[in-house]
Amino acid sequence: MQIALVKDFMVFIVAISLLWLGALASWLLRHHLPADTRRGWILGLFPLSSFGIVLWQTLMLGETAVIHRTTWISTLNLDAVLQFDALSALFALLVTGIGTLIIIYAGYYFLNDDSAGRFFAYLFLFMGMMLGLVLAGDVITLFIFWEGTSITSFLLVAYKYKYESARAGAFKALFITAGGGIALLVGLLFLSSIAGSTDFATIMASGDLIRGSNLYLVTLILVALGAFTKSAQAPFHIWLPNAMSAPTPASAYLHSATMVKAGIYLLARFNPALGETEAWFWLLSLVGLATMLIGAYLGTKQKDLKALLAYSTISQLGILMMLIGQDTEIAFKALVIGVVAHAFYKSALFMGAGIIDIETGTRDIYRLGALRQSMPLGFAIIGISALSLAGLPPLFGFLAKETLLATAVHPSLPEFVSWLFTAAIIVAAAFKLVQAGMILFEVFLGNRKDETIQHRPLPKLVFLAPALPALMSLGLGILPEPQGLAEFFGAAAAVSFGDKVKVSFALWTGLNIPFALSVGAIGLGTVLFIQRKRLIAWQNSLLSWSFNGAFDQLIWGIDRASTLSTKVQSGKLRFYLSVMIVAMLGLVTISVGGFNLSQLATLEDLSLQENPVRLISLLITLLAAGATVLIKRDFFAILALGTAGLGVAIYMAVEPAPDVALVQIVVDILATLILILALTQLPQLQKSAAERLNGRFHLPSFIVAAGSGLLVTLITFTALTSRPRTSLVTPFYSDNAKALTGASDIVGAIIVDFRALDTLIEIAVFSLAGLGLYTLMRFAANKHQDHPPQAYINPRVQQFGIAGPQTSVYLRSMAKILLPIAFLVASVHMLYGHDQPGDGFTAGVIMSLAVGFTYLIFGFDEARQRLTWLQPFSLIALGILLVVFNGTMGYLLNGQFLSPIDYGGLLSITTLPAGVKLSSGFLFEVAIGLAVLGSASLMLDSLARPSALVIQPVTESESVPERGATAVSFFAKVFQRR
Amino acid sequence: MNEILLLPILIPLTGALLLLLMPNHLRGWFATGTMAVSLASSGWLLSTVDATGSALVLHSGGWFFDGSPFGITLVGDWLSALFVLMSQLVLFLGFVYANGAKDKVVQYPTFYTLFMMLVVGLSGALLTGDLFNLFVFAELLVIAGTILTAVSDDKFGTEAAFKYFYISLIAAAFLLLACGALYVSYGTLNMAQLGQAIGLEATPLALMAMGLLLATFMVKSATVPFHFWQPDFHAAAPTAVSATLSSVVVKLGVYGYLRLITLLFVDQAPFIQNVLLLVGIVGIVFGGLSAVGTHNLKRMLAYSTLAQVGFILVGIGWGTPLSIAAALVFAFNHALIKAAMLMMAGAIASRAPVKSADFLNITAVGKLHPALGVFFFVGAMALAGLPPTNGFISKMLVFNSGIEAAGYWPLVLIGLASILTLVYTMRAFMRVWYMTRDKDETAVTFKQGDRLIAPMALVGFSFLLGIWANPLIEITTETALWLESPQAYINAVLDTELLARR
Amino acid sequence: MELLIAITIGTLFAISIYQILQRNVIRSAIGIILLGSAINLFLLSAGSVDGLVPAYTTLTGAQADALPQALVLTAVVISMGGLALILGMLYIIANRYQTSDLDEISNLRN
Repeated sequence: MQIALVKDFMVFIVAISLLWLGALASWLLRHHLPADTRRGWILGLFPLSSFGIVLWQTLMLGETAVIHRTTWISTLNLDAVLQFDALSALFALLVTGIGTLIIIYAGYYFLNDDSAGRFFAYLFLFMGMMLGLVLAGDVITLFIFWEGTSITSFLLVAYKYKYESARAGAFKALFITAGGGIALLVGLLFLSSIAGSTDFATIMASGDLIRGSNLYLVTLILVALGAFTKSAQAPFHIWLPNAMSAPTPASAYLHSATMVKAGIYLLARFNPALGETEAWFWLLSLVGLATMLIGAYLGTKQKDLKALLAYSTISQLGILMMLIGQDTEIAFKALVIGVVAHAFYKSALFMGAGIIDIETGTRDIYRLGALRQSMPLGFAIIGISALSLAGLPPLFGFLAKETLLATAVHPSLPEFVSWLFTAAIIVAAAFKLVQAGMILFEVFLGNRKDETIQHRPLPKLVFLAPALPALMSLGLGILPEPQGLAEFFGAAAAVSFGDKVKVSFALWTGLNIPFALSVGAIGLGTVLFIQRKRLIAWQNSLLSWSFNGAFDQLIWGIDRASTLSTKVQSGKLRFYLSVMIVAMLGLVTISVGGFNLSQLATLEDLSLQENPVRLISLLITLLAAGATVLIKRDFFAILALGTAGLGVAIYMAVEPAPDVALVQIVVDILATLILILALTQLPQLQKSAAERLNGRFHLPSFIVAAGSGLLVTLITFTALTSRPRTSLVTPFYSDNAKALTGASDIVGAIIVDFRALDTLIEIAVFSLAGLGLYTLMRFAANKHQDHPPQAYINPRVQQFGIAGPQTSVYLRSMAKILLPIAFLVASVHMLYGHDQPGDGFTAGVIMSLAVGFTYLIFGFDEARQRLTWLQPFSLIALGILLVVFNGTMGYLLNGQFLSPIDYGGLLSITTLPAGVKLSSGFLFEVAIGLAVLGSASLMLDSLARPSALVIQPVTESESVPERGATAVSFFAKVFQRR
Repeated sequence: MNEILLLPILIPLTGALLLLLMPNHLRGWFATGTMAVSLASSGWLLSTVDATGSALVLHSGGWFFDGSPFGITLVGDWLSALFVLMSQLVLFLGFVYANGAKDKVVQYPTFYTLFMMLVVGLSGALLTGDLFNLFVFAELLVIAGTILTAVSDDKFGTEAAFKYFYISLIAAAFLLLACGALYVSYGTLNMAQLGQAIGLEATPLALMAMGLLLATFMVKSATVPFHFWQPDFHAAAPTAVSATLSSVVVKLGVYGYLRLITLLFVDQAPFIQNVLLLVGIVGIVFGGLSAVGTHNLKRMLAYSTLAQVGFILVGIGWGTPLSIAAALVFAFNHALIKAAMLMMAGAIASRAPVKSADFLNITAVGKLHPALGVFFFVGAMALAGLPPTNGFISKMLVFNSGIEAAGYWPLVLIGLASILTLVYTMRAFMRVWYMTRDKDETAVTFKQGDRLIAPMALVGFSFLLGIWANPLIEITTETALWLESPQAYINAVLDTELLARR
Repeated sequence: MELLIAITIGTLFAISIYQILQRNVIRSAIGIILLGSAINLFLLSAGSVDGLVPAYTTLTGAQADALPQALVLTAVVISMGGLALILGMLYIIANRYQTSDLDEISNLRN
């Protein structure tokens, strides 16, 4: 098949976008368009014009397909490609042509329903997708439109979403078609990765390569899955009957003429690439056969007219699927004829059913009857179409069946297969005859069954839409050999067959086997029809295992599994932590799996030099830590914890790491205090209840703990035994700390200079903790009424110290003195932090401890009054901003952010008393101190009286802004001083 | 030029502090403005990296002598720059949402400071080139997130935050153990130096550290079996926050994996990738099922993050440049989609009779806001990977890379599992917009909802990136190529010639 | 000696984990603090030299490795902040759920 690239391909993009414009129009003008018969005609112009375009292009179409590519994702050299050949043309004409009729018809269907704008919009969206699908020339382009049709059909089926049935039907359709879509996507990707390109031209050309590939089978199955789900092939056919809850225009369009044909189109399109193999033949033929029989068999059971039509559609789709399976010219001839024939008569039937539904208010064929008087036109139209469905001469449907039978007896098939197929086709044909008969006799002939049904006729013009296709199927049947049309059909068939196909519409092909067979089929059908009461009774008597049941089972299974998997989220933190730690240990073990652990550390290189202090400190730590487990009372356990902390501090001092030891002590005290404070806040009953849990041995926890302990032991041991090692950084620090930063305390130098960024973020973290605690206690806790009821709180605690009673003058004066002293000590720490143990953090903590003591002595209220200068927010902001400023100055002066500056030198203040250096390091320490003080005082503020707001409720908005205001002025002053 | 690296960290940091000093009614706008500037700076960063074609490197304090760093190094290569931009884009919109939200928590004087610190922590963790510094930034991130969730309007917020914080503390312990082990083995914490040294010889301790780091990042990215904190935490956080947590903050873990396999443990990468492949698939199935099984919209979306991150892990697990690029695209797109969905979930919840995203509570609430329904539907399509959204692009790329990497079995499994996404997203949509309520319940007068600019913008992006996908794919492909050679990163940080001569 | 130290630190770590896994919240808070100490000790022992004198430029001799000490200082401050936060949350939860039993703090299920 030659390919010609043409420039002026815009026409097809126009054709598609015209339909989407229709969607836009019908949505935007939904209130302005008249809700009467005119609406359909106006909106009908959109599909009509795109039908015109397609027709025009079809007439201009020669032997060669024309394609158009626009670059889409250049990195993956992925293009959006449209391709127009006879096959596309055939489907495009159906899509746009029948689309026009449907829109006009819908105008009548939704007569005086002014909320139907949504429906028209959805329908137009779908049309655009469908047209794109049949015009696509690239697998990805195709897939995008393919999924587009699934989604829009979901919207259409769920149009009457108030009804459970509509929602369920829509969901089932989407689940099945989109599920198949995923398979299709993977299949198409396989296809293109084998062929080395995503566009049809290449893929079709490299058919042998694909069939030769070892991925052929999986590719075929995946692609076929996509097609089967879309074209309602067994066992995926179940979505189609449920989709009947869509408004009839949608059913007439999607479920007879277009969307369900998408799968047929896909496989017909890919026949040159995937087809012509055994696997292909058996897969398609058998699935098609099953579908045909199931559809035919179940159709006769139905009471609902639309359901009956749906099943006959399924049956027809099965037949088409079978035809693609055969690798014969005549099969593809039958395919194109069958597609067109079915599109015509089935859409006519659906539209007719819709009219009946509207006019009589029911679709139950056993309540309807004798409609021939009330709607003669409908009788005529549906009559013709039904006969076509039955495959009786002189109708188009007859041709389809004729050719089909001819295919089945085609010599290229193995004998028994041929007979199997023939038999199946005859049975199916017979059943379809019964279905057609039921439509005619139950609905139109006979006499009225239900007197309650009254008749509200629609305007006669409504019959135009179904009439046209009906007449077509008649006309094509009886017109003598329309040559051009035959050639066009032939060309279409040729595209998918990959070779010339001769199509003739001759009805009378002589007294050959096919004719005899179809006569047989008709005979059998007639018998069955006469005996239909028994037939149906027999069908109902059969205990029927339904595919729907299976689907429900599947969904039920998914839901069951989901509920189980959510059970994993047990809500038990201990379980979570244990799982995590075990998983971590597992990861570590398999990570080092390759090595034997003795490589980690060997007992040989043990140095036996003992250090008694170390031993003692370790002993203290271990005993105290153990005690925290064994002691029953929480209070004493906390004290033991404090002791353990001190042990650690001693160890650190011996390490020797004086700075760390100092901080450790300070932190240890603070931690113990806070912990006790927290303990005091717990209700008594609760505490005793919790203490009863202590000292219970819990084996799983023990194992987890032991495992992680072992890991740490291992690492630590290796670390210690491999001493001394080369560190890439430390020697540099010890050599250059003094010269580069002017600090003799290397740790301090690292903190404020070498790793200043760490410190900056670290104090941010600490400040954040303070702010967080404050927010939690002051606002969040209030929001959910978390604070204990009034009864808990001793009112005197509100006025006086934590102790409750009025504190003695001695204590108060002591507190007054303590505060300045603490600040003095702190400032010493900040000044000399660079040259001796202690740093800004220690300073900050010391200050906060003093503040805490003040709270303790003066009680909350008075403390707040005394410490008006203590503005935590501003202190935090000031502190950290000072560091940022410091860093920025470093950038401005030395061109390096956070590089050390000797402000003293800059301001030529060289000789300060007591060896004080006005370096950036000093500023840094001060900044840390301020931030820590701010944060810690916030913590104290919140913890000292968490329930403050219970007594005097303060809304979020007040109390903070004016604090902010003062802060602003304070802040301004500070910067003036710079 | 390299100072650009500081901007995405310092701008939010300074903003966060200034926020403390201003009256409450200004805070929202100031914060949003600051984030806009910060976002611009991260855009500048990415474009600069693009222009130079190599990594930007900043040795803070200028501690760089004889070709090796002695302080903390910030490194902005393709990967970190891309992730920073992604994070700040979503975070900016998170601020926009918060600024319009009616939640109580947003009114707190400290809210925006905390939120801003979250940005600092995330950006810093992505940009730092020093392992311990990564720990510090991550802690900032953790603490900020914990507080924000603890003070949430959702009364389970505190419990969720509490559990999250405990788990994160354990994770931090893992990370510190890893830091120590690596320092023992190689005497440095600089990732470039570590990468070089481990490339030469991987000591048993280093391998232990690998396991520990893997565990740490698995906690960060909420990967099974380290995921327990995630559904609670992301469902209970204030909407504006959870939208960012579940979309970008989890990506820190993804970033970590990429650094592990492309810089620190290149020789051990296959092992890590197999692990990721395994946990990724488990995550996809488990997350998908749980999302179907849960009874709360926000929780459902949180679970879906488990599944979606699983796709990313599978992409990394396949380890080809194509699949890594696909994983990056997936990460970026998922960030947008998930943020949008969570914001819309929050908006829906705030319109329900009771402010909760419980399905029983939000049934039929959609009818109050049909327009939102359109956006939610598009978002659901994107999440389910249906065209023409960016979700489809991600899924297509991942599948395609899977075929190219011949990972057929994972492909089958994730293909099957991705049907689950369709089930839960569509069910949620139908419940909120299609179902109807009994009279008495609908009688409730619904509260006024939040402003929806942010989620609508995000859905818009998702749609746009579905149609016009090339730029993102181009960048990610560049990134994947850059990650191909660890040496490039090392050379950018260290002066390897000089070191070689000495 | 090394073995002794290693075992001690390991045991300390194990104890801390065991405490964290206790049901009583106060105990698990204790565990968190112990965990911090264990990690800090470990970091110190990750120092590259077995120092005899503290890391001061003024002192001569085998100086202890300064870097781990700096790291420990940072870690200490951070864990301090974390502790305060945990206790705050504990207070809230204890009053909200009226329990100090970790297993009963499990309202977030499924």
